[in-house]
Amino acid sequence: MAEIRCPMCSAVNHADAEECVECGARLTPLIAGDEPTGESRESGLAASAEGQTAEGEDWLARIRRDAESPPPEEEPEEAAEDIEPGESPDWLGQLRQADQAYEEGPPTGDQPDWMDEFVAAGDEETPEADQDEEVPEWLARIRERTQSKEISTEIDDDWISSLRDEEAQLSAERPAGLEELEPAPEEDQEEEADLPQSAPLDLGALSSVPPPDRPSGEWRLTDEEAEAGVDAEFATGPPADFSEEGFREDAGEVQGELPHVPALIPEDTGEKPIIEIDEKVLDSAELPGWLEQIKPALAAMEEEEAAFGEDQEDDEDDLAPATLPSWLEAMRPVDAFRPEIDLEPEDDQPVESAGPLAGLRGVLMAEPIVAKPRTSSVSASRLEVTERQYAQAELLQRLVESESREVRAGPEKPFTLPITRWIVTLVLVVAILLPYGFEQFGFQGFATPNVQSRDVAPLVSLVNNVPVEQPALVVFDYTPGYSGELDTVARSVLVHLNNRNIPIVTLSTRVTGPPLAERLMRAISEESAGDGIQYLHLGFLSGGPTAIQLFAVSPRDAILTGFRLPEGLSRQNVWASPILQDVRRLSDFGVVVVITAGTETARTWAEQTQPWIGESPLVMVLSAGAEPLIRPYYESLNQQVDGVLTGLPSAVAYQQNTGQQAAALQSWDSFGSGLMMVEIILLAGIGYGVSRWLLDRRSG
Amino acid sequence: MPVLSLDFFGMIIAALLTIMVLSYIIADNLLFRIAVYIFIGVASGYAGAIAWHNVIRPALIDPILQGGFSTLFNSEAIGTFLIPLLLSILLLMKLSRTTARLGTISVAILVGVGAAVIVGGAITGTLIPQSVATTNALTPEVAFPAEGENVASWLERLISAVVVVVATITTLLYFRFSAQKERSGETRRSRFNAVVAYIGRTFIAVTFGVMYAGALMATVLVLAQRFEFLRSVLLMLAGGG
Repeated sequence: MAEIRCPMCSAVNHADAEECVECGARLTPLIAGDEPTGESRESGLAASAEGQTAEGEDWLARIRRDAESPPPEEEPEEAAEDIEPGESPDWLGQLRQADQAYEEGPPTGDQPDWMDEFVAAGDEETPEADQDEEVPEWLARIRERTQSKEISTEIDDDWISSLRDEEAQLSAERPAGLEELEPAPEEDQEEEADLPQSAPLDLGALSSVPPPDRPSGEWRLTDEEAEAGVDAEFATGPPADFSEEGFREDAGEVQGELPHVPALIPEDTGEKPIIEIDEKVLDSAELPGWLEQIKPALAAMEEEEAAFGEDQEDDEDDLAPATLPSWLEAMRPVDAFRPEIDLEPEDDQPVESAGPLAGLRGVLMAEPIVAKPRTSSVSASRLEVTERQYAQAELLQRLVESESREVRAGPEKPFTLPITRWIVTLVLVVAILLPYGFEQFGFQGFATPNVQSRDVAPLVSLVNNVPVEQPALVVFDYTPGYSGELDTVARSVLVHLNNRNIPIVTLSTRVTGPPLAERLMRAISEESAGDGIQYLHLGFLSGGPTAIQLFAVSPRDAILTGFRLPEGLSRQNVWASPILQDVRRLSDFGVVVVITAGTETARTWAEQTQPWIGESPLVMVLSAGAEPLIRPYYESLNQQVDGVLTGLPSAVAYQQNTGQQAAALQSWDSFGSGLMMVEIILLAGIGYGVSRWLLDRRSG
Repeated sequence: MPVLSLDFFGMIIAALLTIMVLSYIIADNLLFRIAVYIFIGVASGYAGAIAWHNVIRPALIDPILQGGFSTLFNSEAIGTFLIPLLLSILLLMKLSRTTARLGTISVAILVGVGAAVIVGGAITGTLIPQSVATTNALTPEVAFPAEGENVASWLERLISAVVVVVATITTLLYFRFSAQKERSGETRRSRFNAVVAYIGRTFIAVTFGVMYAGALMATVLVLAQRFEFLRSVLLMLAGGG
C-alpha cells in the first residue's frame, strides 16, 4: 500500500490522504498536478521566474495584447445577449483581468526613466493616449484602490484573489463603456488559432473548467490528467466537446454553478498566466492607429528593457546572501544547509507546493528535505562513549560470553613439588613442637604477659558483679574449626562464672553449637571441684536474626525444647527447669555471653538484643580476627557491648587475674614460638618482595 | 589391660582425621578428600537430626501426639501450628518446578521479615548509636583535661577521640564515589576528595591488617592446639598420658 510521509511531522499517511492525520497539514498541493520535478520543474520555475522578475514586462505584454484586441465596435451583440453581466465565462474573466491590468499601467514607483520618455512621447504623438483625463470616475477609483493595495502589501502573492474581487466588482458595476473594450470571444478564439505555435496564448485557467460529464464540485484534475499535463492537453487541441460552441455552453454552465470566477492561475502548474506575443504576431495583428504610432517607441523600449533586465540580473548576482528575508534566515536549518549550498535569489526559488506554506515562494522546500523518505540517522541513536568505556563494555561482554562458553580442560600442568609449602610447614611444625622440649633443654619458655590488657580488668569486675540468683546465658555461635581458639578463651570466663556458682544456660544459632557447648561444659565440670557446674542447654535456635529478636522478646516462645537435658526434665518442659523458672525475658539473665568467631553474628546479637537486654551486661568472647569490627560497640561512650575478651593473651591475663588454674598456658609456649616464626616468615616474604622489586626496577 | 572407653576411640578417630587433613600439606590426596567428605556428610546429617529434634518434632509432631487433632483447631493453634504448617507445606512446593510458584509466599515472608529485622536492627542498633557516639567523641569533657588528670591520660583520650572522628569521616567519604568528569572523558575525584579518600583508605587498610593479624594468631593457636592434641594422643597410646 502506497504511503506518503507528512512534510511537517513525518507521520505516515495513506497515499490518497489530502491532509495529515496527525498534524492536519496538507499533503497534496493546493495546485493540482504532480510535483514539478526535473526538467518540468526547471522549466516551470524558469517560466515563473520570467514572469515574476519581469513585472515591467507584464504590463507591456498586456499593452501589446490589448493592441491586438479588436476595437470595441466589433463586439458581437450575440455575446452580449447570451451572457448576462456577472455570468461572463471564464475566459472572458481572464480578458477582463488583462484589461484591468492594462488600465493599471506600470507599478507605481517602479517606472523607469525610459518609461517616462515613452509616456512623454505618447502624450505628444497619440491623442488617444491621453486617456487619464478621460478616464471615468469608477475606473479612477479602481486604480486608486489597486495602487493603495499594492503599496500596503509589499509581498502580495495572493494578487489573484484581489483580481477576482476586482473582477466581481467590475462585473457588478460595469458601465457601458467598458463593454466596448472587451473583445468578442469568437474573435479571441480566432486570434488564438492564428497565433504561431511558438507563442501560444496561455489559457491554462481554462483547464479548471470541468468537462460537461463531470459533476460539479469535482473540478479538480485527476491524477491521470495531472500526469498527462495540461500542456499536453492543450497541445492536442481542445477535447471533442470543447469546441467553441461547446466551450461557451460549458462555460456558461460552469459560471452558473461555480460561485466564483475561476482563477487565472492554472492550478496544475501554479504559474501566473503568461501571455507572450511574438513580434510577428504583433506585426500581423491589426493595431489601432495610436499603437502603430508608438511602435518604433516600443522597439526602443524593448531594447532599453533588455538592457535594464541585464543590469538587474547583474545587481542580483552581486547581492549577498544577507539579502535573504529575515524570517527565512531564521528558519534556515543550519545543519541541513551547508555553506556549499548557494542560495538562489528569492525570485528564482521554486514555489512551495505542499504543506501550510503551499503557494509561497522563497520558503524552505519542505518536501525535498523533510518529506523525502530517508533512513534514520545512525548518529542520532549512537551513544557517545569514550575509549575507556568502550573497553570496559568489551570486557564485560567478554565476561558474559565466557559464562556460557564451555570450558575445555586445559593441559595438565607438569607436576612440581610444593617445596615452598613444605618448607613453611616444616618451619611452623618445628616452631610449635620445639617448646615441648624446652624443659628438657633447660629453657623456661615464653614469659606470661606482664601487662594486662585494659579490657580484662573491667570484664573481671563485670562478671564479679553478676547476680548469683540469675542464670548466665552463654551463646555458642561458632563452628568446630574455631573451637581450638574459642574454647581456650571462653573457658576462662565460664570457669569464672562457675566459680561464682552462677548457673549457665547455653544456646546456639548454629547446628553444631550445642555439641560444642556440651563438650566444653562437661570439660569444665570435670575440672571443677565440688558438685560440678550447673548448666542447661537450650539447644539450637533456628531462624537467624529473626529468631534472635524473637528470643530477646520472648525466650519461652522461641525455644521449645532443649539439648541433652538432665534426667527428670522432659524435652517439652525445658522451661520448667529450676535454672529457668524465673526467666521470662532476656533481661532476666544475669549476663549474656556471646562466643563467636564471626563479626556478623556478634553484630546481630548486639543489634537485636539491645532494646530488650535491659541492665544485663553483654559480653563478647571473640576470635582475634573479629575483634576490630566489634570493638567500636565496646569503645563508644554508650556501650552496646559491656565486655570483650579476645585471643589467647587476654585469656591468660583473665585467668591470672581471677586466680584460675592457667589452662591457657598449656599452649602458650607453642603459640608464642609459632607466632614468632610466622612473623619471621612474613618479614622474609617482605624482604624477598622488596628485593625482587628493586631488581626488576634496576633491570628495567 | 586398660578399659577402652568410647572417648578413647573418639580420640583415635579425631587424631586420624586430623592427620588426614594435615596430609594436604604434601599434596591433594585421597586421605584429605575422604576426611573432607566425612566432615561434610556428618555435618549435614547432624544438621538434619538437629532440625528434626529441635524444630520439626516439637513444633509439628508433638502437638498432635500430645493433644490429638482436636486441639489443632483452637484459636491458639492457628497461629502456632496451622499457619506454620501451611507455610512449611508451601515451601516444600519449591521442590517441584510445576508447583514452585506456590512456595513463593513462604519465601516472600522469610525474605521480607528477615530484611526488615536486619535493616531495623542495623539502623537502631548500629547506625544511630555509632553516629551519636562519634559526634560525642570530641565533647569538651574529652577535649580538655579534667582537674587533676594526668596529662598523658588526657592526651591519650584526646588522640583516641580525634582518631575515631577522623577515621569515621574519612572512611565514610572514601565510599562516596561521586566524581567529576574531565575533558578527557575520565571521571576523577577532586583533589580534596582524593586526599580524604586516601586517608580513609589508609584506615581501612589498617583495619584489615589488624583483622588479618588476628586471623593469623587464631590459626597459629588452632595449629598449636591440634599438635597438642596429637601429642596427648600419642602419649596416651604410648601409655605415658
